[in-house]
This record gives sequence, structure tokens and C-alpha cells, in this order.
Amino acid sequence: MTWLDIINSTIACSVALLGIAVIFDVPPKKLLWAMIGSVISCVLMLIGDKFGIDPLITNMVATAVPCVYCEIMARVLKTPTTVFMIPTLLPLVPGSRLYYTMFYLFSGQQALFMENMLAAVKICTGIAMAIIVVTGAVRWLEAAKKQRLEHERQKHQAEINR
Amino acid sequence: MTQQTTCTATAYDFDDVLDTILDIACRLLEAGAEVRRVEDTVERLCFAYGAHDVDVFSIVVLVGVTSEGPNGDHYTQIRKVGSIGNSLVRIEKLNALSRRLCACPEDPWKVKAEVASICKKQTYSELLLHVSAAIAAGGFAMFFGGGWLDGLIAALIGVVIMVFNIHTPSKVNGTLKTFVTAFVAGVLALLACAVIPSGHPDMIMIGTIMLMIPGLALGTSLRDLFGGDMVSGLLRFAQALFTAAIIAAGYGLAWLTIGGIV
Repeated sequence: MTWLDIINSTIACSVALLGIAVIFDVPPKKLLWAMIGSVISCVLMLIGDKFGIDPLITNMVATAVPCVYCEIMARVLKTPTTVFMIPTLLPLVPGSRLYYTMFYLFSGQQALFMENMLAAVKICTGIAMAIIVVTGAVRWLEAAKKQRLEHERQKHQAEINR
Repeated sequence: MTQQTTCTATAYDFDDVLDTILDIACRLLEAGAEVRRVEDTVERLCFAYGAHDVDVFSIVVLVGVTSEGPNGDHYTQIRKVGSIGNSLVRIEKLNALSRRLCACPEDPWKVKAEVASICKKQTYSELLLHVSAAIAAGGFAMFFGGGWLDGLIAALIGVVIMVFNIHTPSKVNGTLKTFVTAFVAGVLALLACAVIPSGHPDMIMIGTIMLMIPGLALGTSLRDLFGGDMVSGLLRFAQALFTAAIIAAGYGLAWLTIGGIV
């Protein structure tokens, strides 16, 4: 895969995701921000493919980086994270692997069926692992912030009482 | 001073308040929000309206809440959720509404009307939905390695899928609809490639499959699972897997019937 192919694929993917974003009813004002997230994940995945990095690692990175972006944007624009997360993660869905899994199942080619299914499972595992890590980290940070605020509130209250 | 008088929460009947809050929760679930967000929203809203204690439980199709109202009485309401779709703009608007209410509780009846109006509004017109289905299917067909021709055919099939999606009567079973749509999309792709030999049926089908994959359900189920809501996460995950299997069956049947002939 050449760099030109990567650029072409990214453009095709962005156009497709614009359509998907409209179907999923992404708020018009946030379309652009959601698109940026999906372009990030698309480019990371294609670059991982180009250098022959293991799909598990590629998909983990291509999920984690845009996930962090989504969480940041969600807080900046005061919007639920899901609004950015769904269009962002869609380029990573292993559409062709799933299709070939189905195709080889019905055409009775056991070995190819297993190969494609396991590849799809591997990609999904990569995505899931990245979501666990990012979501876990965000929850932890949120809890820490809440605790700090509560602590400050109590201190403030104590001062007033005094 | 006037700000404070409009922001008093205890003046409202807590039964009405709880009814309105559950309205918001139901609409959120219907739009495809995660369970954690729904539970969190209900809890915050109840406290904002002056509740002393809130216990809320929600799975994909149900929200139940028991709350100790401002006057010390306990109120319980349970609501069942109808169909689950995907509308990120509704999640966003309802979220903004609940943020506003948490800052300053308003008359529950007014809020109820506002919730209804949010859910009635269509963000994108039907024409735009068809066009976006076309560019999505075409774009994905080219993204997964198809040529311009494959993209064009996939785009046309994308429009057909959207027609099925929008114009199927709501009484038709969802599983049947998915199966028929997948079958028709598969048949059309194979027929198109029989007429135009330079097309790649696999690329076209992959492009159109991406339109039907239950992306929102899968994404939400993962977020539910890792947020600790096992029941909801597994329920939604099973739902998504089942839909995927039905789609595969539809395309597979197309291959088995038409694939040998053309």
C-alpha cells in the first residue's frame, strides 16, 4: 500500500462516514468534530496496515487515540461522548472480514472461514481492549475530580461553621 | 432574588416530577443511550428536584425508580421502553435539557412538552437520508478496495436499503425486515455484477453491509459492559450479534440462490 492509496482510502472513508453520521443522526453542528475523530482512526489503521503491524496492536492504537479525542471533545463541547464515539469507531469495524466469514461459511471453505472469523475476533478484541483502557481511565479521573471537589466543599463548609 | 424564586424545586408534585424524569429517561434509552447515562441522569434530576434519596435501576428496555421525595414520602414508578433506534442528536438535546434542569428545576409539565417536541423533530430530511445512505455505501465499497464502478453500484443499493429502512410499516417484525433487506441487497449486487462483468460483487456487498451493521448497538453495549452494567451490556450485545447473524443469513441466502446462476 502506497501513501497515495492511504490518502485515497482516507477520502473514501471520510465520505462514507459523513453519510453514516447523518444516518445515525449526529447533531449538524458537531458533524465536523465527529468527522475529525473518524479520520484520525482511519489514518492510524491504514498506517498500521502499511507497516505490517499486528492487527490487534493497530486496532488498539487506532481506537485509543480517537477515544481520547472523543472524551476531550465531549467535555469541551458539553456533549455526550457517544455522539463522537460511534462515528469515530465505525471505520474500524472489520466489514470485509465479517463478509468473508459469512461467504466462506456458505461456500463451505472451512479453513478460510476460520481464518477470517479469527481475524475479525482479533480486531474486535483490539477495539474492546482500547475502550476498556480509555473508559476506565476517564472514570477514574472523574471520580478523583469528584472527590477533590467534595473535599474542598467540606473544607469550605468547615470554615463557614467556624 | 427572582432567580431564586423560579428555581425552587419543592413546589411541584413529586409524582409529576418523577413522571417527567422517567419520560426523559425513556426517550434517552429509545435514542440508544447507554444505561449508565440514563441512571445517572435520573439520579441527578431527582436530587435537583429536592429528593432525599434515589434508587434507580435500568436495563435496555426498562427503567424503574424509587425516590424519597422532598416531603419524606416514597414514590415509585416503572416504565417500559418501546423500540430502540439510534438518534445521537436526541441524546445530545435531552442531555442538554437535563443539564439545564439540574441547574434550575422547571415546571414538570412544561418540561414534558419540551421532551415531546424534541423527540418529534426530524434533524435530517428523508431525501438527505437517502443521499447519505448512497454516499455511505459507495464510500465504504471503495474504502474496502472496490473501484469507481463498485462504488456507484453500492451507492444505488444503499438507496434501496434506506427505502426499506424508512418505508417498511412499523408493524413488520424487525428481524424479518433486516433479513429481507439483506437478501434484496445481496441479490441486487449479484444481478448488477451479472449485467456489468467488471464489477466485484464482494466489494459491493461489503459496502452495503456496513450500512446495516448494528454499529450503535455494538458500541453502546461495549460501553455498558465496561461500565459494569452486565445485564444491559449482554442484552444489547446479544441483540447486535443476532442482527449481524440475520444480515449474514440474508446475504448468504442471496449467494446460495442467485450466486450459482449468475
